[in-house]
Amino acid sequence: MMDCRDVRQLLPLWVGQDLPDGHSAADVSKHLATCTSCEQQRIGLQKSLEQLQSSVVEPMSSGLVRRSVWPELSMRITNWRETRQRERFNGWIPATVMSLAVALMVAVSIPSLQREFFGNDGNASLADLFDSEPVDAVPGMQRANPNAYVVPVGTQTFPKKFSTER
Amino acid sequence: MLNAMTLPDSTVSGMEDVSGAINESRLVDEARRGSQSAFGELVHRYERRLIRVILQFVRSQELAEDLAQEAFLKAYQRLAQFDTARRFGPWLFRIGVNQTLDYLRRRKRRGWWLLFSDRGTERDPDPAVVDPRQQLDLEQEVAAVLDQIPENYRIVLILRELQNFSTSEIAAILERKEATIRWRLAEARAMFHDLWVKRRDASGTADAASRFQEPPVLGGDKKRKAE
Repeated sequence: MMDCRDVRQLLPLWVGQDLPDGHSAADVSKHLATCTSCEQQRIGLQKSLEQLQSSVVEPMSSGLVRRSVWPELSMRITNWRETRQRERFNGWIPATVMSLAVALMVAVSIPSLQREFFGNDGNASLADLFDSEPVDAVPGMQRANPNAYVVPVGTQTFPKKFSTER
Repeated sequence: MLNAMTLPDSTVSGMEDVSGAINESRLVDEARRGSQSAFGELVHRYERRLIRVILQFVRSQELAEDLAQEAFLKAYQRLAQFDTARRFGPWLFRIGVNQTLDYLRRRKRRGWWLLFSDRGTERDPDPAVVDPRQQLDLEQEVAAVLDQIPENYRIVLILRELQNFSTSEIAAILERKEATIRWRLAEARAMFHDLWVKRRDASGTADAASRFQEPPVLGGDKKRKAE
């Protein structure tokens, strides 16, 4: 059997039939039938909530056909889609220009690199770049320890052409 | 109880489509693929219901329509993020309610706004109502009490009492557990009752005091003497 404290905790949900299934609304009803104080509490609560419910704000009903938000909204959606498409397109322009610039730079620099490293030897390939002489053969280079090479300052020389005659 | 969110406009236009949910998911799919007319159909289904909900918070028809339009636009812009396995209604109402609350918070932050604006919380009387003054008085009284209830509780109370959403629907709109919503609802109802009773008692005392201080009516002394 529920006491007044239990009932008053459940009463705000009981009045709106919002008690979850596990709670017995019937027990609350039984208690209210026998307890004047809790019944008074229920009446007061119900009256307050009725006042609240009767204050519901209804949309204007002045007899005119209420306008729909759709015509204006539809224009805004169209504008938004156009703007988004434009932004997307505008976003592609710098990326495309940048890619083209990089490609152009590469295209221009590869023949000049080839000329730099291979001279006018049209038969030389990129693999030849790495096919270099033994370091010992580089003039001016001294072996400081077995695992490293030190090139004295001012004596570094870079072969114009790594691919030499063997 | 009617499911207010799956039959969105039924209370307004009398439309009760049994296959509404199926059609709705089809409309959402089409709108996601770019069909503006499909989204237009969704707007027609939900706009009145959404405006009514927002109206309970802002109490201005024009403002409610503007906020509803913003909510629809935001929903359209976020359609790609919408999980089609879920219902469109709660998602839309969540956007609408959040948007309205953001607006109210902004307005509260700059309180001076009301002083210089024509668009306050007061509404023009509805000519269709015989004597709108009483209803406006009640609305203002209730609004004053609701303002004293913390926002988390007030939202639940408004959605349940003024828009008849079920606790499970409110849970879906606010993305909270139903148990949390029930607890907040119980607290909100108790708070509203206490504040309403206090206000009524205070106004009763004020009325009595004003009657006590009322200047004597001309000829009143003569009447009393005659009695």
